[in-house]
Amino acid sequence: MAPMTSPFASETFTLDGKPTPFAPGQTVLEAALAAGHYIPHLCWHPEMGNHGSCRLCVVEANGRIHASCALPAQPGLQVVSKSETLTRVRRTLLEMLFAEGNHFCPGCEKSGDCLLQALAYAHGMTASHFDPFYPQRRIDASHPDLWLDPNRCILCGLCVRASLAEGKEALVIGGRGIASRLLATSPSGLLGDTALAATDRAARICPVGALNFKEVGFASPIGKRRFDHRPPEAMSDKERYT
Amino acid sequence: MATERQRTAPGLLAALHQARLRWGNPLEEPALAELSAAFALPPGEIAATASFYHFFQTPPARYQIHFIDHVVDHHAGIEALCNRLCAAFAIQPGERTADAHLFVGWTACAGLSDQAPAAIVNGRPLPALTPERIDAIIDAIRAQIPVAEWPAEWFAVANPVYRRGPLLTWLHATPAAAVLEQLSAREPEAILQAVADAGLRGRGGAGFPTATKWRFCRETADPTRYLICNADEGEPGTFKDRLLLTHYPDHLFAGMTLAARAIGAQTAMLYLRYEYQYLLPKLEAARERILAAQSQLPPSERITLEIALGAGAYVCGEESALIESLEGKPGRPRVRPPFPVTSGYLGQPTVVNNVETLVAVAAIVGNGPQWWRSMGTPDSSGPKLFCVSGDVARPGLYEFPYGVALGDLITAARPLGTPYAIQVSGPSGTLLPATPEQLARPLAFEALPCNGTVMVFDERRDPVAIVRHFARFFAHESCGFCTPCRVGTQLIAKTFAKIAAGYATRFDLERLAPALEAMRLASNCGFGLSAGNPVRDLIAYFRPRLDAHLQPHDFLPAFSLDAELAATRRLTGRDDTHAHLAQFEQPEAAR
Ligand SMILES: Cc1cc2nc3c(=O)[nH]c(=O)nc-3n(C[C@H](O)[C@H](O)[C@H](O)COP(=O)(O)O)c2cc1C
Ligand code: SF4
Ligand code: SF4
Ligand code: FES
Repeated sequence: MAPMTSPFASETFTLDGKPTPFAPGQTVLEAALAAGHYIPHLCWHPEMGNHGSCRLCVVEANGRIHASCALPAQPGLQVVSKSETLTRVRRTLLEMLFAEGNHFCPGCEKSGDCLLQALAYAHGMTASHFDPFYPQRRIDASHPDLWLDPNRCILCGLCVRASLAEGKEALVIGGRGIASRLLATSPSGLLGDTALAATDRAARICPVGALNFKEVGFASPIGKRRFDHRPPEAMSDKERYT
Repeated sequence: MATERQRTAPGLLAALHQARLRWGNPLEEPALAELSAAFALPPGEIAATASFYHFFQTPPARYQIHFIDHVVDHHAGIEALCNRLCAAFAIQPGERTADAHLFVGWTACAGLSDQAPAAIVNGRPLPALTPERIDAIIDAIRAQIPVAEWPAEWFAVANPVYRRGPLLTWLHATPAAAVLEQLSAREPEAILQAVADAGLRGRGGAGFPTATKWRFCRETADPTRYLICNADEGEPGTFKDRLLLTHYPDHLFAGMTLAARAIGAQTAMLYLRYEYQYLLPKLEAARERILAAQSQLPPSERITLEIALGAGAYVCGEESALIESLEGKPGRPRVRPPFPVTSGYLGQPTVVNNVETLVAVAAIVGNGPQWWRSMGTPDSSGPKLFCVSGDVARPGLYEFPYGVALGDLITAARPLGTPYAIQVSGPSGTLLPATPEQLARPLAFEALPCNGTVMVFDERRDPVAIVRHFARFFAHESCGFCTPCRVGTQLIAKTFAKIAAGYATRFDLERLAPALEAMRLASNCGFGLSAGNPVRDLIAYFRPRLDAHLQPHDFLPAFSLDAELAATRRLTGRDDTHAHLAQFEQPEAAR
């Protein structure tokens, strides 16, 4: 079949008024990031692709709201990624995540290094409007090198996908609704009984303070942490992601 | 790219049901080990699936009774009945007796709103409960009579039809096999054309043109395709598919066969909600008959027919969640695109259609598209089954053509009092005031869209309490995958619990506004997109009733002072007046 357009003509869609090129198969989020145009996101990751659960990456495309991490770029698509409504929705989503978990930043070793916290700052979130849920999920410290605080897990599925990709399936998300939770896949349900190793990609990918290394907390002083001086938006891929 | 959430394991739900029968609890260690080996999955993935479905959570007990936690059942006195049973065995709902014989809990609407109040025992329906029936059940449990030996009339689900039209008349008069014997029934293009000419739109809620969906699927390059019949019927207040599954399963399997032919699928699967498992023997027999009706055909033209059973999750009615469930995974709706028509069951092109849609396909092929088109409105052709429940003398099924006025449908069901509020299309639909303007609106996709569900509430009912029930339902049934719905449904439920407790203010309502916005705009599927509708309608149409529940103060604590003392009361074994705190008065003043 003959291609409809010349393979040399770069196809574009419109992103916040600017023509933005894209490669076949790219999503709006991927094309935007490749063009240096930041759209906030938590559960998409350059190595792991999309998940579609955080919903922070919402944009308006041809008049309808979509998650940009799942929306294929198409020629002629009119995308708005910055608007008052979208910023408000994103801030609400961040407030929801804060209310749902126990995110007591001052006491968390991931503070300053946490994508959730950094995005909350970037969206001008000063406090949560919602009453906190104060979950009391059991901390799993059974692993020799790692520990899991499920009360800080935002269910982004990054560790799940990373572990599946490296053939271990050490983690999975179980339960339903507000009782959804990260499960270790071992018969005992404990992290220490899975094949998860500290050197695994899955062990290092958590964007928040849920899946952590033991004995290395508070390694960087305040002022030297990843997000202390710049928001995620102003960073390269290499700096932005864990 | 690792976008997979969990590995597929078709048949896992069926195996979990088996494990529950054998071990009591599918998550017992031996059960888990066996399933893990059989499906070559780590135990945690089995647990992830099992922990998603309501009926896999029930603790093992000889008698497992779930009362229906649906607003119509509550209005019919279900809570008193549940308490009566619990009191007899000194347990609370959600608990099991010390001897592990009896468990009593709650569950969402089980498609029995026309015979509320109802319950389910060991997966079998107990419709039209009365205090006397509860007492008889208490006696049966005390005497340790197995559920299989309980009187058959306790389980007799009636299917009252108060208005028959051309569709039900045709179904009654025409054997399904006769449709399949027609020449046109063997021609995929002829089937598709008939359904297109009839203008058939999906009866499951969204009203998508059936032929268009089929064409998308048929035109995919992949020759392995699936047709799935959605018999999850979970929208509270809905029971129209129950009648079709009970009385016309042959026509349903014939319709599935025709649809599968039209899209070039080799396999057609029926996904049945767990609460309808009592229909399995009937459905199995119908499946065999329709398979037999194909036996004259060359093997390449035969359609394989299968039946799968859910396990208690309303969200599995959403088509991509249903597919995930069939694949043995938690029923979390997929992120789209891709859509099922290009990548559905096991990644193959798949069409999901509602029960009523597929029965309509059989009727259209059997009786001709012109017949169908001659009924209804130009944009909403054909007859429609409506289920009316609530405060009416004749709760049950009504066949009307699309375009019937809401008020005419309600009048046919003989309201008990003066209708005050009407819920159209279930909780995820619209809550309307019963004003003349609203009652005059025609039920049709282009006017007042309706999946067939209408609940009538008269002046005795408080719309705020109705919305609180719906809020609890959504909070319980959210799949939990995406942020706005997982957290938003909780925020709504908590706010309405606070309103019911009498210490909510206007400020609490205002705080909910951004959550409703995020749900409506940013949710991953139709569940979260519409779960805020009842609150939206309450504010739009019943604001004075809502305001009457709100405290005039600007702000009150988010918690109940008294509830905070509950743990201390339990620890100290006290429950006297001095062990309680009032929310507004000084405790001193209360003394
Ligand atoms: C939360 C949710 C629940 C649903 N439940 C059902 C259901 O119980 N039965 C049904 O047929 N469709 C249900 N649907 C609609 C299905 O996703 C799908 O659109 C339908 O089965 C398609 O069939 P139709 O085109 O024949 O209507 C539901 C949708 C959502 C978002
Ligand atoms: S532990 Fe971290 S990476 Fe894993 S799902 Fe939770 S937040 Fe995401
Ligand atoms: S909207 Fe609700 S039901 Fe749908 S995917 Fe999100 S959490 Fe699940
Ligand atoms: S990045 Fe798109 S939903 Fe999370």
